[in-house]
Amino acid sequence: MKRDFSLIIEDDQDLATIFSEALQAAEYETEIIQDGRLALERLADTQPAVVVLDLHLPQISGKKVLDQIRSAKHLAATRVILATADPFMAESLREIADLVLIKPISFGQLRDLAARLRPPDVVGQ
Amino acid sequence: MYVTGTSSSSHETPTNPPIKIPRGGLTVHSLSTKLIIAFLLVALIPLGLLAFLNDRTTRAALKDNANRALLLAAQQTATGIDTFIETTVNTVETEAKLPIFNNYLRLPAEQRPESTLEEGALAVLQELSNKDPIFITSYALLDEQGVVVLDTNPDNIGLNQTGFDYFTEPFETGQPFVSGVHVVEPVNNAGLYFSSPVHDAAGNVSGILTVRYRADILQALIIKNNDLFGQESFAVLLDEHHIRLAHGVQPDLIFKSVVPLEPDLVAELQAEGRLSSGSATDLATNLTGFENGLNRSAVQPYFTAELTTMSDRLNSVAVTRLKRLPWSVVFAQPQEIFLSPIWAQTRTTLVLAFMMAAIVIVAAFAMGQLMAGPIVRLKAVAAKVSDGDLTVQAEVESEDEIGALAKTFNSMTAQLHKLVTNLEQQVQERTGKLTKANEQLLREIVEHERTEEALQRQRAFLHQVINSISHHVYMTEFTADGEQIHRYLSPNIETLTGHPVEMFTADWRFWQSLIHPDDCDVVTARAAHFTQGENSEVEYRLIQANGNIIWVRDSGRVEVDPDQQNYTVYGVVSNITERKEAEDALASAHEQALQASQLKSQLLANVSHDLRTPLNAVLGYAEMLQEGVYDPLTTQQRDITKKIIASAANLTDLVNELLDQAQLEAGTLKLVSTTFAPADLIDHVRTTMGVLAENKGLQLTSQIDSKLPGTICGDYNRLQQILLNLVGNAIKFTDQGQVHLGIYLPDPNHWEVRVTDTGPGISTEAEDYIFDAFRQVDATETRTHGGAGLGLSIVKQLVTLMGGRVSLESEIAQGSTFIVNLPLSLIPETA
Repeated sequence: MKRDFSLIIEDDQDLATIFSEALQAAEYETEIIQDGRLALERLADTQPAVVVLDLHLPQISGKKVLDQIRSAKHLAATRVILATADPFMAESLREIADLVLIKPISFGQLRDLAARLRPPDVVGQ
Repeated sequence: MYVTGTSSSSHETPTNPPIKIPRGGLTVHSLSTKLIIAFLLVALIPLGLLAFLNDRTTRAALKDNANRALLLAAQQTATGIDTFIETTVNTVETEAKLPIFNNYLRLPAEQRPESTLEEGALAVLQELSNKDPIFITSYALLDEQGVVVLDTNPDNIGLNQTGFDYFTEPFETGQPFVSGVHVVEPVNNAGLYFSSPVHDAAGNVSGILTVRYRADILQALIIKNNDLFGQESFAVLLDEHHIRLAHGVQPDLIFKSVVPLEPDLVAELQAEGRLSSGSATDLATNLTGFENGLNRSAVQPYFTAELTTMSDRLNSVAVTRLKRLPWSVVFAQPQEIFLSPIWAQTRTTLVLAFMMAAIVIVAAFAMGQLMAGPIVRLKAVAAKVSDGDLTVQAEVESEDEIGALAKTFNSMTAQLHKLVTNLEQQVQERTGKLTKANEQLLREIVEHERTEEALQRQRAFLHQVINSISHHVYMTEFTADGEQIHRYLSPNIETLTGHPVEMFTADWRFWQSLIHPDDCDVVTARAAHFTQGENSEVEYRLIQANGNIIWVRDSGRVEVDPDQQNYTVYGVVSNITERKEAEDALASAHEQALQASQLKSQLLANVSHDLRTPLNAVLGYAEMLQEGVYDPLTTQQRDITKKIIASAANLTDLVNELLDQAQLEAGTLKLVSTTFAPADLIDHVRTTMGVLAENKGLQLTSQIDSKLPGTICGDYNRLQQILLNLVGNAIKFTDQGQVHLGIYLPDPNHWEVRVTDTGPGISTEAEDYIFDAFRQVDATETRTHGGAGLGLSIVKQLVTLMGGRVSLESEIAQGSTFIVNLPLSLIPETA
């Protein structure tokens, strides 16, 4: 079974690792990017099923990355899990993102939620 | 003390003042007197008229009669004198023709003395003079030269008489002549000359025969006619100059003119020897009436005048002229003499009048008594009535008008008696009422005095208060034309402004001039409130006399006049400078505090943000260990990992609570209203908390009121937070038993969440502060149960923010029930 691709955009190394492990536990193939600019470049040529996105990123903010994802046609099917330490920002982006999780995010919770976001056709395979 | 204004008059009977009626006697107002006067008038007026007319007629007749008689007497007297003169003239003319006289005069002058002719002629002269030895004083012959050649009075011989008329007139005319009266001093030697020319054979005048009569002859002729007309009638002889020549009753007036003559005429007459020496005044009387009558005598021979200087009696006078001489004879009689019959008649009339008057008086008096008798008796009765005896009755003596009067009087008295009796009763009643009213008035006056005293005390108190308070009190009248009149200004205005109070009373604009220019609009705007009858309180700045600026609060209560034209404002002006400064400081402090609070919130937000990342790493790794992502754990490692996860969870709650508290304090927490099903809320809480309760061996039960709508509105996440907190607390503090979560509808407008546990309960004292921030019931429990103590405080603040109430029902050892009561909303609220 081919694993769905997920992108972990998180500048904190530890959190990036934990999120990556959680998604792998949910049967996702993961790639970690710790910079906003790099994330946009990577998103231009990939179609991740799920993106775990931190808002506080170097170079380009997570908010801009989210806007880019929502405006790019090839990313229409991409589900975005916002992972932020800022509850206020989280509140304002609740409508745009598919899920908003406020740090600290539980490993098990993220794993379970990510598993539910798996595309149905993929689930069916 | 009290005034009895009109009470005294009420004791009098309301009758007119008594009329004083004279009791008998003959007064002007008595009936008898009036009758007498009337009778007298009727009787005496015709009599008087008759007497008057009769007197006039008689007087005219008597006067006319007297005039005619007097004229006759005058004419008779004049005839006597004329006769004497004519006779004497004729006699002298005849005597002059005696030849002896011519013969004698023809003798040459030197042959005449002691000639026989001379003796013969003298003898004839002597003989002729003897015919009237009393009045003839001389018989004389004058020659052609006018010299006296022979004279019975030898003293005259040789005197030249050419200057006298008794020589010149006959000499020149050849006719006999009579002269006027020639006055020779002394007066009684006055004389009257008759002369006639002596002719010779050829008819030439050879000389003049003269006879000199004493003037007394005229007086004798006049006196002879005294009483000719009647008693005291007399004659007066006057010459052409109205010089008296003879006077019947006053001889001393002889040779005096009636009125003074012109001085020239007097001098001329004196030169002619016709007046004695003396001034014109001395030689005259001043009887102008007499003179005027004489002057008009040619036309009117009668007149009335005074004729003597002895008395001022009026005389009726008649005048006639002599024939030969230009003299007048006047005959007069005092009027009283010939009018005496009138006096007799008048006396008779008067006697008659007196007799009639006496008869009339007696008759009138008798009649008056007859008529007045009943009236006088009625008057006596009336007097008794007027003295207050209203029971007396007048006797009705007759059936005439007086009888009717007596009856009417009796009826009137009876009526009056009734009225007075009635009136006395009324007066007594009124007096009683008045006395009561007076007593009432007295009580009211005493009450009024007490009130007045109280008022005085209050006034003094008010004055003390106004003087002792630091505020300025005023009363100002705003007129329709924009003027302001300060009715009262308390002395504090001086303290407030530094200006003497007189400055403000003199000109109301002075106060306005002290208002800070920037605040003038505020003060002007309040007038609009006042005109609407609204009270107004404004704060503005005043510039004091020393230039300092103070803040005042001006509270005005307005009373609008009924005519809506003027209004009066009662106000207090307080110096609020210190308060203002404090307010400014407070505002500044508040601003600073707000900034600090926002800084704190920001700091907390930042801290929570910065804590979350490492906390997430701790929690994440621990869970990965627990999940066996790495190697399987030993039992001990598993326990430790579990503790790490629990601590991290606690820390997460703490961070969340701190953040909420910071948001609530900063006021930045916003509720997001959505529609949700209460059942979902319960499910979520049970799902989240079920494991926790199970772990403690507790039973978590729930219930939903069936009356509750399927969906309601509210901030779902915050409601979750509230319920999780309450249920979490209940589980946390309950060691055994159960925790129950129920949602109810206590009334149609509210819904209610009740969380009941079987825990230790909360003391009454603790109920007072359990909802305060950072407080837990027992400080030791913090260590046992963890948490910052913010949970219930945040619950309360969130419920309050939602417009609800949170309350607690608890008993020690019996458990607690937290009740959240919220307004029911079925439509999402847009924030």
